[in-house]
Amino acid sequence: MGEQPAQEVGYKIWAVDDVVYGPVDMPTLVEWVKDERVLADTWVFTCHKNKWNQAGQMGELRTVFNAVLPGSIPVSHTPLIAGIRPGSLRRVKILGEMNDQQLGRFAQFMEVENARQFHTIVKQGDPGDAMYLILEGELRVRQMIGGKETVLVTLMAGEFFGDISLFDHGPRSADVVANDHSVLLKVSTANLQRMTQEVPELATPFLTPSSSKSPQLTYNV
Amino acid sequence: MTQEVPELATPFLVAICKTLTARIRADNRRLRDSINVARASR
Repeated sequence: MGEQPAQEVGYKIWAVDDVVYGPVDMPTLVEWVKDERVLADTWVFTCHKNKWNQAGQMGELRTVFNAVLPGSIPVSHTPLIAGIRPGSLRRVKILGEMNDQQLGRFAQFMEVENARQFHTIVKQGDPGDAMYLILEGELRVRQMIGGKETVLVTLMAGEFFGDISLFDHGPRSADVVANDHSVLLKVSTANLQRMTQEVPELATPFLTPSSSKSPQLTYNV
Repeated sequence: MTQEVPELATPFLVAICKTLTARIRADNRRLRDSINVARASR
């Protein structure tokens, strides 16, 4: 007699980036609901029932949703990205014109970087091959002129830097140093190139606000 | 164009970004030079 294939257990999640994640166990699924990575209208596949349901309709998750937002069920989409808090991407101004599905797919072309306090993220003169979006924290852009530090600008969550090197691969024009622990999203030249070729409809909203912004010298490291 | 034919708009936008990049680099150079001159004249 041949062996029966092992039955899959757990839950799979159809995220807004059109990627199915999992299977994961119930405790993980509950954590994702609490983190708002899984919302009431997120489709969840229950492996042992071989059935898709919206998370809000699953009896086993009802109490979790009620605990997260008593009396209401969240309906807005949030991208399912490991290491990124829901809503963080919305803070970044140049991503503001993207819808939730675009944001989720866009995030697949980015890398999360954590910078501890006083860490130098980019150094003046180094060749640049990426730009950074600030999700959390505070950074300063500085130039060392005549041995003295000149702070050009302080950047907060929602702002970005390094975009110039993204396009011309030229040297960084200033140092960027973390004033606090910061969380950054890195968009590399290679990933941007891949995005413009593979999903131009995704690259367009990213490029449009960037090209129309006023040239503020201190941002463009 | 960005909505209907993004595959056409994207290379166009990238080209604009590269042009803007060159202009901003030039402005940065001017800024740095002016700071140097101001410091030297003190």
